[in-house]
Amino acid sequence: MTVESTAPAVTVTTARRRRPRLGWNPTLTTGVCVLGGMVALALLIGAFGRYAATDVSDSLLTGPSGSHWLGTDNLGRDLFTRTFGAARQSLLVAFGATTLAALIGVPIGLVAGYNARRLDAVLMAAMDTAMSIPSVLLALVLVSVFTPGMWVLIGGMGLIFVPYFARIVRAPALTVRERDFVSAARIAGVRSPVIIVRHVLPNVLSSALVQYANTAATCVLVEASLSYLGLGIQPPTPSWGRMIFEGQRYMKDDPLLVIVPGITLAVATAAFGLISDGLQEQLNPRGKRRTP
Amino acid sequence: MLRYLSIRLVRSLAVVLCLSAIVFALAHLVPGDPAALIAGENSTPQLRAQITHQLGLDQPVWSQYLSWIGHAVRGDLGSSLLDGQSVGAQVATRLPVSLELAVYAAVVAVLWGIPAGIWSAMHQGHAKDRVVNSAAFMGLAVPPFVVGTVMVLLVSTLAPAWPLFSFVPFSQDPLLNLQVLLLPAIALGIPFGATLCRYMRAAVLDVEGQDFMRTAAAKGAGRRRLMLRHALRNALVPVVTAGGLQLGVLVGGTVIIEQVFALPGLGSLIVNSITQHDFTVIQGAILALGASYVLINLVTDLVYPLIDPRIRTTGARRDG
Repeated sequence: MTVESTAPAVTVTTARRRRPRLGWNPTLTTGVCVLGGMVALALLIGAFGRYAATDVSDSLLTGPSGSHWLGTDNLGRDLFTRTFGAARQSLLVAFGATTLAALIGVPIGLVAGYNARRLDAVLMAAMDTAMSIPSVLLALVLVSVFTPGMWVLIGGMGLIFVPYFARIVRAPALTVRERDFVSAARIAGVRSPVIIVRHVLPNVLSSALVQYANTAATCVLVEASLSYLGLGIQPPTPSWGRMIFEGQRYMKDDPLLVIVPGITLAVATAAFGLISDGLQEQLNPRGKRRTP
Repeated sequence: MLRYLSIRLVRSLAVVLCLSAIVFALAHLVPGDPAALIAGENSTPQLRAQITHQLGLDQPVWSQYLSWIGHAVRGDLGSSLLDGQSVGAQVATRLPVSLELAVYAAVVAVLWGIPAGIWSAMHQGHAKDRVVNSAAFMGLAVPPFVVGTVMVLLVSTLAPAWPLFSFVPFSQDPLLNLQVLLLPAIALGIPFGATLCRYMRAAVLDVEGQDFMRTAAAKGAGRRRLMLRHALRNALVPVVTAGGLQLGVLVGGTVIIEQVFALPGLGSLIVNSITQHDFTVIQGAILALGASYVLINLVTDLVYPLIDPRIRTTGARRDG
């Protein structure tokens, strides 16, 4: 390595260091682009696609061709259309459930962290207990009572992941509580709810954001697993999990039926994973990674 | 030490009680009358009333709960609404399959995840590190049931002689049993190992920067001794914490993987009973699976004092 080659790199980094938050972050950018592309495709295919995801035809298991880019399934439905139709379901569930969990979990974590002591102990004990039960078991309990479908998945998973947000937000809220600007506000007579929203909330947002990406990835996986078992999105509405289940029987004739939804599912979770990793690098460059 | 143990024990009991309450509430949230479900749609009101009385459904809710939990503690989980079989007996034959699969998968995960994490940390920033990191990342992104399905496809075409869907209990033929469970265990062990790998790498890197490592190196400890004796022992504590928390994911994974490989475990029992609305079986099976998960967690809690002697004296636990 020569001095000449490193010199410009150094100037670039110092120039960047002035505004570190806007620096080039390949991990985050890749994740956002992949996810954005998937959302765009899912929306475009619903609006402009040649086929609908539930259209049956006479050409069964054709394999890739000009009229069906990735071929058709055992009912003659277009695999490409179904894969991205499923992306729409999956991402709707992921964003819906995660947003619900964040909307309930973040306030709980804030209140617990800010008030410390007794309320904190009670809330966190409840959260810990809820987290000690495997989330798939809780999801199974829910789908056994209610007829499975998208809204049950969003509501159920939204509630299941509340404790994860409460936990992750509580830790920074506890430290911020001890900072001078919070004490100053308290002495100045600002009421607690205002302090929590104005001063504590901005300081826990980065943790909540990372958790958002992690939870969304988990939601995609749980939705796919439940749909695979027949307990998630109900056919004929497309979902990756159910497509893989249905494709299993024909996978010796046309392995694409399993591989295409499998890979798209992996790409979706990987995109959320990249966003989570990238956000952690961005917001907390030196810190330890909390969740892999 | 005693304090540490008692806290853990009380917490585990609280979790099991909480789960039992949720599972019990399940039967009461179900729309429709369980008696009508048992007696059939066209049954007489008298018959339904009789069944309601037999099931104790005319008692107050709390006394129903107490009686249910009292029976459950003694291993009596009621009988199936559909065929009248004892739920306890079904759970007893199926639970060992799920537990064996979970343990097998955990072994696979530890065998590849921990060394990969250490190796990757020792080559931090090099190509080797990047390869391991990307592999672990992909291992987390691809769900086990997809890996399992692809493995079934590959094995059935490349090695048709491999026993795929013919489960044999361990007591009957240990070798064949391990062979049949190998693929499901790998499918489950990949993501769990990836988690361990990422935590292990972070933990080793964290420990490597600490003062006592430099002291040990200055005293002349070799690279191998430094890693095994000084770094690993400290790095393992947060990894065991994280691994313990991730065991729930593993238990959830068995439910799905059993379906992929047609294994007669608790998971497939739960899924089948959900599709058939057999609520006593769902209750019993979910309670049993949840309770065994809590028990596994309790066991990992007992591993701590072995790795971290501070717990033995102070009862405090340093979470990673």
